[in-house]
Amino acid sequence: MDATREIATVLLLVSGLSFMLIGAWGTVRLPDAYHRLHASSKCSTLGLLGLLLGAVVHIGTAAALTKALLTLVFAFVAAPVGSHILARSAHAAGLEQWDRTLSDELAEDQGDHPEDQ
Amino acid sequence: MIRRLGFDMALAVLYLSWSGNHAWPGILVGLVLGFIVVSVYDLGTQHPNHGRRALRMLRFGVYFLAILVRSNLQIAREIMTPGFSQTPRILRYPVDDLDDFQTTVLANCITLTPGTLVVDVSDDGRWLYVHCMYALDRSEAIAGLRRLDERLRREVFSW
Repeated sequence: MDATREIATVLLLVSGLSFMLIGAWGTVRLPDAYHRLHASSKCSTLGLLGLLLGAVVHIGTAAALTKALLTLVFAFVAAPVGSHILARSAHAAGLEQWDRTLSDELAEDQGDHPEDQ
Repeated sequence: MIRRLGFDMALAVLYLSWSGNHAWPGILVGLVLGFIVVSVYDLGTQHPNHGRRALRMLRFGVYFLAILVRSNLQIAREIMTPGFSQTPRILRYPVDDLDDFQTTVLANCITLTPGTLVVDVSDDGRWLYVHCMYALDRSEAIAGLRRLDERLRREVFSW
């Protein structure tokens, strides 16, 4: 029983950490600000899910589960909101987009209604 | 739904203060009892059933976790294989008929699903601007957003 719990803990922690590592790598490697935000917002959320579940399995009390669930709710709300703000500021600052970007309808619309800016 | 959930919790609190059993099992029993009372109450009203709606929301939760994992695997593959295969666009997506809260929920879900990231909301709240990583065909990318949108409307917004 204890052995299965150890194994489950290790699996959850390792998978959570790998997603976080991949997210960090993507933040360095991907071509422009928007792609980097894809990596940082998605991977860190799932990575945190893995880490917290690992901690809950290891500690194994109801209090730990409650705290982990609360943390997850906050993380699932906060991470996308943070990435919206970053993406929005990136666009407002006119950061260079990857040269293979096909179209930018946000820039088109802002061009149509200059008074909106 | 929100009001019924509040009712549900009020019943749980009532149960807790009477039983004096404040540990986790007691709280769960209180919530389940409250849930049953609200469901039975709904049988006599015109509202769609409380239990069925809660199940639908739960199903959306499971679906959402599945697409979160899928979006992570997709971006992990893009990061770990050499070269890039993205065909990105920034698209506008109409959200005229959603209120501010629903728009926020939809935007958060879009950001956590595969290949899409919300960049901005228009000042009048009618459009979301979404950065799609794989949008070679514009209408197909919009259809993907539409699928998530409709699922969210059917299973979560139908309070």
